[in-house]
Amino acid sequence: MKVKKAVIAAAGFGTRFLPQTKAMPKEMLPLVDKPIIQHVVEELVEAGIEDIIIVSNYSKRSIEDHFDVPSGELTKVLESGSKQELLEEVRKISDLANFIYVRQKEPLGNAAPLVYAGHLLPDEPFIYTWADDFFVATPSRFRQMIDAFDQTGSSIVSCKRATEDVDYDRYGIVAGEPDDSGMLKMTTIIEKPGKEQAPSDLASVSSYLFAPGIMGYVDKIYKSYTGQGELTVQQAMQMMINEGHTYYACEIANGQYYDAGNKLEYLKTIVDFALARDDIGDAFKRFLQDKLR
Amino acid sequence: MTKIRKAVIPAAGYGTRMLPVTKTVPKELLPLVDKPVIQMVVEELVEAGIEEIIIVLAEGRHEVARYFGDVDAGLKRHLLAGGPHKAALLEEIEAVKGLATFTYVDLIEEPGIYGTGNPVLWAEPALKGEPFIYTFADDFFVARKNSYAQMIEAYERYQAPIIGCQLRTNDADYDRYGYVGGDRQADGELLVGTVIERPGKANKPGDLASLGGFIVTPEVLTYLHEVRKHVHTGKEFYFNAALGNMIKDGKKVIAKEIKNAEYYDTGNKLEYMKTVVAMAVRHPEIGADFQKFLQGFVNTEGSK
Repeated sequence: MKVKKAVIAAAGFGTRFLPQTKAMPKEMLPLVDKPIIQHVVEELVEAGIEDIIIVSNYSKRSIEDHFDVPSGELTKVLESGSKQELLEEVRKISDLANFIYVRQKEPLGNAAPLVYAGHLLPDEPFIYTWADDFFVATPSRFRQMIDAFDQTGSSIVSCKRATEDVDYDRYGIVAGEPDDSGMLKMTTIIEKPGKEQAPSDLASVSSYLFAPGIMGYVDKIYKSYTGQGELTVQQAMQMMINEGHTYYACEIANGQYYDAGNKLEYLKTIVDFALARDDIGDAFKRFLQDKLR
Repeated sequence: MTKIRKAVIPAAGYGTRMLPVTKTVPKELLPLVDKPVIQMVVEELVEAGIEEIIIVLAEGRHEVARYFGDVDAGLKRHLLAGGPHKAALLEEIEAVKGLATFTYVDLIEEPGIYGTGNPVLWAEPALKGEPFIYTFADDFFVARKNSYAQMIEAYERYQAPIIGCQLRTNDADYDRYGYVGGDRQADGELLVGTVIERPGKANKPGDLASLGGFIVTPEVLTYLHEVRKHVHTGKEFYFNAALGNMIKDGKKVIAKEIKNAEYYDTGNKLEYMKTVVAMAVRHPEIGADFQKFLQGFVNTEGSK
């Protein structure tokens, strides 16, 4: 079955970036000049995704406007300034995919977006991803995940190797056994185990590719949710694994992981992005070298 | 003499040099780590004694007004429920609203009329005949002595309109800023004889570039109306043209060099990134770690 749908969770308050996130959603923070969420959308589209469901809330209107055609005023300004190319570029953003918006009514945990988007997710595989951390990889992270799904027909969790001790306190760490696929077949995923208790050094970050069946389990955990604690996809995944469904931990190869979800990592991310650009990369590099010598 | 209590900030541009993000996010709200550019300008104005800030917005684009407005109730609830750290954060973001009295004016586009002169005329009713600071929101100073306080101090001594300036001597600068020339009155202070917008190096009247904002007297507004009458569709309506005409009429206009201040611009990608880096290095929470990261980068690059 071809993977054509993706769900982007974008309903968080982004309190780590306040006061800035009073002005704009954290998903719209720029990687130099492009919102992070556009970067994620482009990666999804490049991997063959056609329908993108963005689960957000009332404070995220600018995301919807960003993936719309440019406003009449902006269009006029660009036309009268003979900036046709730029106009084309901003117009194209609205054609990237079929965008579908759902409002998350309550912040119940990281499975909440799936609860609220459930009616849009019939029995087919889909990608579930965040829009504040991502990989830059060749082939792209989503392509690697889709390839792994095509090869195994099973759910895929994008992973990176833990490189620092704090990673074990920050991410879910997966446990399992390697099999013929070359990937780790998961037996469990432990949230933030700490380095001592960690069963491996593979951290589950940023995204999942769910095989059909997941939504039944999301339903199950939602129905038994008492209002205490958080409703997490890890609970649904563990239930599935326990009942014999297969999950693979897919270490994203040939790439770099970026976590733009906190100030320091966001800053490091945009420095890397600025350096990699054709237009300002060299000048920016010279600036950094001068500044630090 | 009237005390300077008001400032006008134009925020009605489209920030096309920062597209695509400025498709929906006004360039004045682009982040410097965790705080929008315009807040840097507002904080410096408030520190210099400004009480009312008049922000000129494009019709229908009110994101800046929302930023300086109430904290959304949902966010407030979320922060209050999140423990002492988040409650403190709430206090911090609520303080943004109390920085000054904010007045918003909608600029209704007139076909073919654009430039730095226009927002001032739209703000005029809110100025009520008082002198004021006119400054932009995509560049700012980080100064040991507040740049606006330096300009106000000069205004009080000369009783004349003030052009904030700094020395800019790169070849490209002469095609980018307005330049002033004139008779030296004191260190860094000129009685302006000429002001030329983007003169090019060959025609420069001096090396002081107009880039720190202005102190504007009611008389300047009279001149600005006159300039407006003669602007043809498709030509830029420069604020500096009003000052130019005043000077031609023999009126006193003073250029004040902003001292002990570093100028930051966020109007294009490269300058924006340089400014972000400079602000990140100074950031109380992440500054030291970020500096370490940069140092690591330079060391690796150096050894290549």
